[in-house]
Amino acid sequence: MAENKMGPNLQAGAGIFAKRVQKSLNRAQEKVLQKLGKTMETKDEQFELCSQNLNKQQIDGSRLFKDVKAYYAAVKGMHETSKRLSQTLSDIYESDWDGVKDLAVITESEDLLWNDYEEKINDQLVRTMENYTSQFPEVKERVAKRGRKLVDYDSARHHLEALQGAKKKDEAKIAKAEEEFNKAQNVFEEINNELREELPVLHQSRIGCYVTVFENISNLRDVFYKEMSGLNRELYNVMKKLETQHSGKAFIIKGLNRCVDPGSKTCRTPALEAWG
Amino acid sequence: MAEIGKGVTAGKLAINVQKRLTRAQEKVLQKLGKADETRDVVFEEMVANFNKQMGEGTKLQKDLKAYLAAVKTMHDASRRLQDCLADMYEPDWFGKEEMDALAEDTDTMWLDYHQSITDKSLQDMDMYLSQFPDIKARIAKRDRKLVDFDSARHHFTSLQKGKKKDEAKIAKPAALLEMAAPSWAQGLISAHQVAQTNLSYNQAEEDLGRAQKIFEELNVELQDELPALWDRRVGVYVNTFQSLAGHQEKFHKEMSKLSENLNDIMTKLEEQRQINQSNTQSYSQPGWDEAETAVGEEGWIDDTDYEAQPYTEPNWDNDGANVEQGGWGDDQYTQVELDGLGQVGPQLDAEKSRIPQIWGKHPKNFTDFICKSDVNEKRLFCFLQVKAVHDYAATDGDELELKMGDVVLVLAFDNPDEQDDGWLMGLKESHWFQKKDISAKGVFPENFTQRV
Repeated sequence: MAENKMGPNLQAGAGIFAKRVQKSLNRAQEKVLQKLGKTMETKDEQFELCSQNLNKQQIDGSRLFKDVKAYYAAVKGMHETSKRLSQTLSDIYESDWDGVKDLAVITESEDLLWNDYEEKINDQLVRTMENYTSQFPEVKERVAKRGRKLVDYDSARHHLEALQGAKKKDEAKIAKAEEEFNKAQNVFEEINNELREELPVLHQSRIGCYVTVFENISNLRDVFYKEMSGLNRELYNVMKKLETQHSGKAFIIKGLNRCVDPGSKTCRTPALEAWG
Repeated sequence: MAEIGKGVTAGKLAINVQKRLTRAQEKVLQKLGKADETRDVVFEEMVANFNKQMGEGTKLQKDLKAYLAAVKTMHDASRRLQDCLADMYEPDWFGKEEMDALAEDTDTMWLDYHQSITDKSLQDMDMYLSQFPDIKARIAKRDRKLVDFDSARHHFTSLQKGKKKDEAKIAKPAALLEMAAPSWAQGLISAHQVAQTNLSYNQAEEDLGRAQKIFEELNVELQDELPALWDRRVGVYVNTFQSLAGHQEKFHKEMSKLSENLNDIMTKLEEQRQINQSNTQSYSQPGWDEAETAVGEEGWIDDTDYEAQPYTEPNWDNDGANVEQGGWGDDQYTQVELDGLGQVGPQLDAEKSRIPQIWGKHPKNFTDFICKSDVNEKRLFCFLQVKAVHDYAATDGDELELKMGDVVLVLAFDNPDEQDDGWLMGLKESHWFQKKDISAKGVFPENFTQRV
């Protein structure tokens, strides 16, 4: 616990520390530093796990983001082709056919429904994933910074150790080394503590993100499909009406009927008449 | 044709060439207005309809194909998303099996949908359209035969007109020839002349008849078929779109159900996680330092961007009790460090009742907790505040160095056995404000201090 006594008041800390050095053995101090070194090593291994989790989380997040974007594009594709089909049907629909107005309404409604679906996907899914993935670069940068500060800390510690272990002790140098050591320690501890708190939370948050995304999409799909199936049914009914209207005509697509009867009235050609 | 023999092929070739020449000739004459063209306005209308119908059908087929391609893309995208979720899913989470089953069902549903549209709508459309090229060819053939017919007609007409002229033309020389001819040849020459003219005339008549027959045959067929085909288009469209709508309706209904199921699973999963979080006190994470403090409960990074869905900030460690940490001893929980979340209430009540045991000498005075908070909302609850009235030099690593005037926050001992009579465990207030952790706590003699 000795090192923790080097609080904000550096002077006082250094003074006490110096007294300690005088009082107890140098070896004790060295041992402490070495032990600290070991602890730092252990801490760093543990942090490594967090760092790996972070990387995996970022990769997974990017993948989901990419797939969400692809899904959005696919929905737009479906909308487009579906619209074209409806448009073609409208084009070939004669004005005297049953259900012309109904068809127009259905086509319009379908288009609106698709637009709404697309918009919601963009808002609830694409943007969510965008926000989620955008936080990783900054965190990774801080992890890297921590790594650098750790190196500084380690080297300051080694330096101090070396001075401590020297046969001839230069108190001034030791004091300076202590100061640097403290500073390095503080800087490192600060960023380390921050990350130590944040990283696990961040890691856990991935579950929440995924749950949100899939809750949203399943909800959106549910609503969309329900509505769309209703419109499908309406179109089906319009087609039925049309069928009834034209029920005199043959529907079967089979071989064509051939009429080869030269004697029949229909075979009279105008050309013959013209020729007279 | 090639098997029969070169001679026949050559002959056929010659005939075709002849045909084409004649037609071209006729067409030119028609264009120049020297020959009238048989026109059938009604038939032309039929042909126009036919072309329109073929165009409509072709467009529909193209649209259907595009739609099916989009369906396939949608299926793939949907499956990839599902895979993301499946890969993330841990076995102990709620609904793992249901989710896998759901993924399978969804996949099957997409495949069925794609298949049924391909089988019914697209294939019917293909079959419908397959008859058009043939009819189109026949219409073209009819046109050609019509030209042939016209050409034969004109030829015959011109022969007819020219017959009288010819007769007059050859009459005189023929008569002269006759006079000069021997008696046995009398009458033969003129007879021969007449026979010659009659031959070509008859030939032309025969050609005309044949051309007419061929043309009429084709014409009649088409005149029947085209209107019937035109009428049938309604039925085709009805079938196509009815079938499509039917399949879509079924597909969408089923997908809606599956989506609902997925939503349920997700909702329950969220609930499960929330329950788990509030149940477990220890939040598993690598144990960092020995005597360090609680896992920060800084909430999730600002989630104001999660608009549409109320994404509730997970209450990870919202209980006031600390995550276990070395050196504290859960039983002696008498201080609590919080980060702006969580409530303190129940725990502290429990702790309060323990105070008399710990503080043998001062049972009644410490029922209230003193709260020290800094600007970041980190709070330290302690029992007691004392002020050093005398310097104290720490003689051991565990001791707290005191200077006169230091305010010390009294904390509980990790282990009550360690507590010596007259000694308290504490943390300098200044240290708390600076470091916000209790790592620098130490013991100190109580009589060096005074309560504040």
